[in-house]
Amino acid sequence: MKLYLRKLALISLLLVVLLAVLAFASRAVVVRGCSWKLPERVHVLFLGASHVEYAVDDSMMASAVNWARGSERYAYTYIKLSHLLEDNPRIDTVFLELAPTDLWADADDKYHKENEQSFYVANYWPFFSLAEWRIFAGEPLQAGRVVVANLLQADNVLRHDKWWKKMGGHENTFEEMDAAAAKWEPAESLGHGNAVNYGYLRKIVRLCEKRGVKLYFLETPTSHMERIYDIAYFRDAYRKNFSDVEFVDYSDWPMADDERKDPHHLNHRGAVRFTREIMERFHIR
Amino acid sequence: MLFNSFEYLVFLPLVFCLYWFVSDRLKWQNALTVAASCVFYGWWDFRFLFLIAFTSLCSFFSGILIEREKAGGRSGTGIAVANVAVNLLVLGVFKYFDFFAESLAAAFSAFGVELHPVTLKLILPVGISFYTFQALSYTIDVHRGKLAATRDPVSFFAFICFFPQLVAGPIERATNLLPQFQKKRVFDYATAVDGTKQILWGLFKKMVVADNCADVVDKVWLGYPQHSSWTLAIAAILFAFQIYGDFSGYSDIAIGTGKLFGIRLMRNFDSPYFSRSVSEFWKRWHISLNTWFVDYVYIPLGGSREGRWKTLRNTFAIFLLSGLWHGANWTYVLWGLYHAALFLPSTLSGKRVKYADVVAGDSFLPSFRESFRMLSTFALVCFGWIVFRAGSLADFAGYVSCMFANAGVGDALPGRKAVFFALVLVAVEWVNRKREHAFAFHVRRVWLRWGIYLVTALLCLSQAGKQVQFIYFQF
Repeated sequence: MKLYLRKLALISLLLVVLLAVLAFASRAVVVRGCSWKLPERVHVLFLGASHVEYAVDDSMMASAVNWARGSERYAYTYIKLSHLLEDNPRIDTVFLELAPTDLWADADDKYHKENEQSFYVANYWPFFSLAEWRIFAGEPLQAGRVVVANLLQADNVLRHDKWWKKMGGHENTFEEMDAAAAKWEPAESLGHGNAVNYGYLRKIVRLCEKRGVKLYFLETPTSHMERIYDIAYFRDAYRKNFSDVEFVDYSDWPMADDERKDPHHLNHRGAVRFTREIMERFHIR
Repeated sequence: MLFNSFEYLVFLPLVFCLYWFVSDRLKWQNALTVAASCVFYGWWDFRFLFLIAFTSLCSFFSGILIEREKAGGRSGTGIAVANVAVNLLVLGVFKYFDFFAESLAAAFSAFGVELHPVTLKLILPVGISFYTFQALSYTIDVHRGKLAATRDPVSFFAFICFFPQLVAGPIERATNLLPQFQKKRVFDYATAVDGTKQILWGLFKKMVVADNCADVVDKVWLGYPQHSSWTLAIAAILFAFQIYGDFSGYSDIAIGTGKLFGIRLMRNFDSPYFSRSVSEFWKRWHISLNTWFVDYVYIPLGGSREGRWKTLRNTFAIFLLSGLWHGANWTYVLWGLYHAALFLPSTLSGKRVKYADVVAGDSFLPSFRESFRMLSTFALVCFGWIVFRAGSLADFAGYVSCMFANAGVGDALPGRKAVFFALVLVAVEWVNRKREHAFAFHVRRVWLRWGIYLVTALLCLSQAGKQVQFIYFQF
């Protein structure tokens, strides 16, 4: 019995050591192999989650890149932005999505456990500082599992195109919203916003100030069904916490149903019209 | 509690240490087994522990009463029948009531008579088919005089609810498992090591093979009309590996865990996809259920000794029951009948080739003839899995018609990772087809042996598909 337990303990220890070695090696490969360089012509960035991901067609602009990704939380955007600004000092303008769900009431549950805050641990953990690890202090198992599950996927870095796609980019869709089928159920809300999300949004604001980058908050056109969220709470949260940043609010911009993918996102037709509007208004080529 | 969960990773070592800590006292050890099994099952829903307790108590007391009747010169058949009826009634109410009520209403509706059936909408208790059949085997064996009725309720409860095999088998016979709980267990190093290796292989089959296949299969089934014939065929094959990896993986973990506790559970799978005929497949697939049906249904009905037509009737009877055992859905009934139909040619011609040996014998590769037989058997089994996987008969018909009609549809072939791991499974099982399980090999070089274990564990951690509940939990 003792011999069995001793050997089992030894092989378990070996497994832990092997995982640790792989984690460090994988981190080194990712950090060294990943390039945040953008083409020389690019000086405008569009970042955020799915609203921007669908709404801004960066193929229409030579000087801008849309690197938003669905459900991306501000912690990941902060990591992404700090690397992009570091490696591309000519970037002077950043449009960052600010939607009701980003400053949502009672959002802790939405952002923790096996949901949005954990979505991109797999891609970003090699860039985490201690502060980012602390986000997952309450769910070390979940975060650990995601990291281990992705140890053998360092090929994302070796294949540059795959890596970039994983980190974000415009999602072009030709789907059309079925207005009749789209649900509109007012969501129950109240409570408080998510501290992590608020904290990282503030960090992004400070980073842009420090670098002399003009930051805009951007809300893309959404249908009336987006109002299932507590819009009053959202506007109040913005006014109280982030009113030092200009909010480019297109949420009520009129659009036809056939320009939407669903109540919250634009399809290709909508993205083309909206991108043209942004290009004209902000003189982006 | 799932075998591939963090909870089980804590639960198993804890119970293991406590179990051997009290190994000097048999009653304590059995009581601990029962308590641990209740925690294991109650993790899902503790309310249904009362159902297991009810089934166990009925069978326990009926065993004693049958023996008393026999001692008094009577047969005890009435008590045995009553207990079997009660157990089947519980199973029927929880599993089949709504199905039969709705099917009856649908049948009447076809003749223009509208019925509004009463349905119970009960939750199906996990593992009810498994422990009910295990309890039935005890009553029948006591009635047949194969086994003395036990007077020790703790060892009996341990037999019914031994946690490794409680929710998805193997369905143990009382004659094999109960006596093991009645005698002192001694820790055996070699058995424990073998059990640990079997658990590791079972985890690989479940987490790496089955769960990766499940990702692909579920996606394809979700929108099968849009996929090409090739994609649908590959998804059908991958489902064969999903269900095999899932169920045999569970059995391996259960049997391996049993070995850690000094309990020998029966073998449930024996490389079924290397079978050369459908009858051989059924000797190698879900052995514990199939031998149960043979022992308690097929042979009492006369087996194959009373002429071709009765053999045919008995074959259809056990496959129909086997289909229904899997679930309250016409797809399972059709799946059972399909397999029974595959026995038609051999039964009617009276020429059934019985394979007692292992395919390819001592050769590394099979002969052309063996390969052809294996592949054709596998194809027939795969076709059967389509109806098994379908949610309804309409889905089955739709999937099969798309398999033939969508030849011109172009789409990317799915699941390279799943295909790769399925091939790894086939290769490892082929090399070790004569052994009890694929990790029962012995490599002399320690570094190589440990390297294999570490790589397998690493694959389980890093290449697992999305965690999916074991398929057979629903049965």
